[in-house]
Amino acid sequence: MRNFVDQLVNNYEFLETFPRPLLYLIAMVAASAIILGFIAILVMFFVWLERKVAGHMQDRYGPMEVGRHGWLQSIADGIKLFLKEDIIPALADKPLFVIAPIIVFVGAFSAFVVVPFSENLIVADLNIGIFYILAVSSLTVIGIIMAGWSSNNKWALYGAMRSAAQIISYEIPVGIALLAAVLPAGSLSMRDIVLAQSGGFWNWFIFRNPPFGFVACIIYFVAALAEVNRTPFDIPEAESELVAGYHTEYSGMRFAFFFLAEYANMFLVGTIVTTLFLGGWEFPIFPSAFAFLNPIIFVLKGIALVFVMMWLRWTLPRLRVDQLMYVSWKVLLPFAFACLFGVSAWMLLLHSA
Amino acid sequence: MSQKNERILSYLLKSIKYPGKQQITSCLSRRDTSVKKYASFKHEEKDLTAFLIFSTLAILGALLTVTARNPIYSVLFLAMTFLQISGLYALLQAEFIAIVQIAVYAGAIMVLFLFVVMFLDVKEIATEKNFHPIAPVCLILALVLLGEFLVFIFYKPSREGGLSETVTAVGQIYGTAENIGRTLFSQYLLPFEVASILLLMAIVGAVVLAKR
Amino acid sequence: MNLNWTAILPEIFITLTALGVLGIDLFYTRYQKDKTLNAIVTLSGMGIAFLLLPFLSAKTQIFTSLFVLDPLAIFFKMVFLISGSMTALISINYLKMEGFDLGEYYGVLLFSILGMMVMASANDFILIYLGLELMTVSFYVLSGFFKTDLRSNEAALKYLILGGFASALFLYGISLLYGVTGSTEISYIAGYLTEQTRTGADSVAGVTSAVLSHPLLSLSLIMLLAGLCFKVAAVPFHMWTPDVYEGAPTSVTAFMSVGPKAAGFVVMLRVLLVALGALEKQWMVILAVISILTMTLGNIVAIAQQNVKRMLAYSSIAHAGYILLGIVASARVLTAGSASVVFYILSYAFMNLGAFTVLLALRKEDKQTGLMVPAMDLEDFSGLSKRDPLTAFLMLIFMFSLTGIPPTAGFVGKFYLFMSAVDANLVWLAVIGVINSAISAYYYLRILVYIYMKEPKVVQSVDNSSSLWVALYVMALATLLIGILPNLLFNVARASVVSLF
Repeated sequence: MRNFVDQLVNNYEFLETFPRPLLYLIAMVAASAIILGFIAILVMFFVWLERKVAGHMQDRYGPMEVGRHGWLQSIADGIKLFLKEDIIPALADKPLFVIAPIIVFVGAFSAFVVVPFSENLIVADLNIGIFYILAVSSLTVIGIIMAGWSSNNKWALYGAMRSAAQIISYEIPVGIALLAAVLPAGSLSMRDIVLAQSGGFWNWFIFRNPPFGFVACIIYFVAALAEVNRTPFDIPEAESELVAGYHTEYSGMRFAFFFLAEYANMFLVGTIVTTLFLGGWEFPIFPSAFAFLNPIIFVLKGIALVFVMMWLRWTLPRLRVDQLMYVSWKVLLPFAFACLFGVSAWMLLLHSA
Repeated sequence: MSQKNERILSYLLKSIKYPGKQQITSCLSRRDTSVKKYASFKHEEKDLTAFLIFSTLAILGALLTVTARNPIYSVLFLAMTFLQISGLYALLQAEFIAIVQIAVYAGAIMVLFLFVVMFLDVKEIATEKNFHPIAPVCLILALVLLGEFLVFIFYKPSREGGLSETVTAVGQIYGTAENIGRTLFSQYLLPFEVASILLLMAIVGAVVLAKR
Repeated sequence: MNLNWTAILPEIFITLTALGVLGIDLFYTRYQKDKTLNAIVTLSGMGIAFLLLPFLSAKTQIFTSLFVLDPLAIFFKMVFLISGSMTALISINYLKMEGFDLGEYYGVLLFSILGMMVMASANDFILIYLGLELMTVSFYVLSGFFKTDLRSNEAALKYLILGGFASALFLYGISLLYGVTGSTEISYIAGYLTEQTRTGADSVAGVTSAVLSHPLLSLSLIMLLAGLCFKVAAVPFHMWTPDVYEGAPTSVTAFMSVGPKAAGFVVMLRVLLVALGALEKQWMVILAVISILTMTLGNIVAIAQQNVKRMLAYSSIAHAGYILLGIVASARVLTAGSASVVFYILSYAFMNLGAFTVLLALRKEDKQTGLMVPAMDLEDFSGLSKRDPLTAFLMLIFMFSLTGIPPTAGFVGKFYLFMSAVDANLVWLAVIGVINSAISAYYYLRILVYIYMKEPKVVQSVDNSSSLWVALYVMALATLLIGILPNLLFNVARASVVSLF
């Protein structure tokens, strides 16, 4: 980011009259705002997409009224949510009730800081990039628990409890499966990881170190589904048991925060899979020829993965709580360890040869 | 700095019947290089501001943790304190530790705390109007301790020389994941393994005590 | 990096055995009631590790600069392995009788021994801390092992909370020491501080250098001492001891009064005599006071106890006081003092384990239920000599030894300790020690009075499982042999500490 600003100042002399830190600050804020706006729009698209996918899978059209094939539906919903009355239950713990959606929202969106849309289109290329995402997204649990507890509603509390247990359990396979991609890249920086996969789809980490890269990718994707509370792991929000889980009592704007955070998290999972296993911004074949398309390719890959999540949601039934824990601790975790081991063994073999 | 180190080094090599001379030598030379790297890295003014903000908030969070009457609030303030401390780590160029701090403490341990507090359904603790008879004694002892700590912290040696100069700040690259990994798997291999056994033991113990 | 793997072979063996025990428990003995196989594996693992030690002792070996295998470490590892295997032997039947025969017991026991072994070899505060934690966490679990017994739960919880606090203090001391000296390595700190002493002495006579008189250094010393004193149960950090010792399963108590204490003292030897040797004027005074308080309080409160387990707990506090006396003395007479400390720890291990084993073996009939329950009170011992003269005689040996009556190990041990104090011109300290021994005679011999001179009040029975009796014989014989032929062992002890300096 600083390099970018410095470059800018070198090119446009009139900028030198401003103090440099101020410019940095402005650049930071601008970048954040752009990311926030872009993700928000994308998320609204996802909300619409989800309803369309659901509709078509159930042999119906989904929203058709607002705009052509209902493409303005999300905006209409958004306006409705913004204009709705803001209700805070009388017995709720007010400060926590107010802060909770903000924490969840911030946690979901601040992770995008390190997402590399292309080689230079990245807000901050931290050298601990992927680990930063894990840490920040683990903060959302606190928001979820706060929401569930402060609502003073047993369904909300149940939902929060389930969600916390689920997220904490699935964080472990997530972290270990990601290592299967971090190891061959030799870096935690998102940019370096993508660069390590350059030169065609056969270099992507999903196809490297067979079959461990592929298995690790699947493990990550499954565990990440659980982390973002999506079907078949959506027991924290199981509507047939818990009304709506931890956001039962929320309405209007605050509910919108949760809603946006959920879809933003879905896209985040898509971008992580893209970055770590699917070659990031690169076109599958002859990547250098299609370099100008990089950001678009990246977003398209993410959208495709989000579509897979929706597809799964409308295909698979929900798991029971004990099955959920079983999958995490007795299936995903051992296989993730095996992947880590296998990838290291491959690397050892290839390096020593 | 280097002169002093050389003296210590020569002393060590001469007088200690200690088999790891090479290690000490390499240890000292490593410190020297890191210090040189540090020299090129200058502290900026804003670091001080950030430090003051982080540390003030951390202390505030710690105080609120202790004084909050609702245990849930206590835990949340503790999480806030951890976040500020992670900010302090980041200021010290230890990004990896900073993120570990968030992921492990704020993300996992605090959530477990919240979990337990909610399971136990701890109600707000009524304000104790009647203090325990021993409270004044405790207060006096605490004040004495605080005074001692202040003396310890603000003590300035009257003579020349002070604390060891070998702990001068380290370079920018010191806190990266690569460096930490390399150190963990070479110099600190054994402690690392012992720590892993410790964690295994803790898991086994927890299962033993909890099952059935 | 050249790693000398042989140096950590015993630790590797213990780790593998512990994992093996857990594995066997998972795949084989899980469906069986009898867990003797686990105990056998445990014992053989400890045996192999024990037999390996003498082969490694030819010279001081290091694994990395953090880990040394010098004669002192080997000596203490042998103490840990002996007391650990004794504990495993006496536990076999005890756990069965109490209905908590779980295979994990032996795994956790092995992990705690591993922690102690790491502590004995650690040349770095980080490794010391990790070994300490491994040991204590294992003991949190072990002391709460009787899950349905409320007092066992209480013991585990108390130990956990207070132990965590003590560990935090210790860690804080380490970090302050790191701040002052710039290293966590004991050899480095020792060299650095000694160098500071010299520069101080060079400039003005009688003026120490700025580093040595820096308050942060004293603060770290106090923190380290507080943490260690907690582990060895010295006054004023002893409050947990009676409750935890009483609540924990007796076999665990027996080991807890020996293993962690010995490990705490070996760390104390390394930290105080080597790392902070330059500060001896400071820690000598503190430790002398702690030692006197510990001896006196332990002995006087022990008199008031009717519960034998609690009484032995206070007695173990008092013994920590005697050992601390030896450490104070070794500030002035390095070799003799620390050799007497090492010697006393070994003798104490045998006699104290023996006393606890007799307590563990003795059971009485509960008047209400008619079941045999562990005997705890003094009354339960009355008339034991008539029902089981052999057990009574063994208890006599152990009690004589704990009091310090010849020809037992306790006498020789105390003799060396007090002699080193006299050599160090600390006659007054030795006198206090002797007075305390005299006080302790009251409550140790009171048990014998009950055993030999009173009529039985309850129906007693003594555990007659062979494993327990093997251990009991070994301990009684060792107690006597050390008392009769002390020179042999004392030379070993002396040789082991010489490598320290």
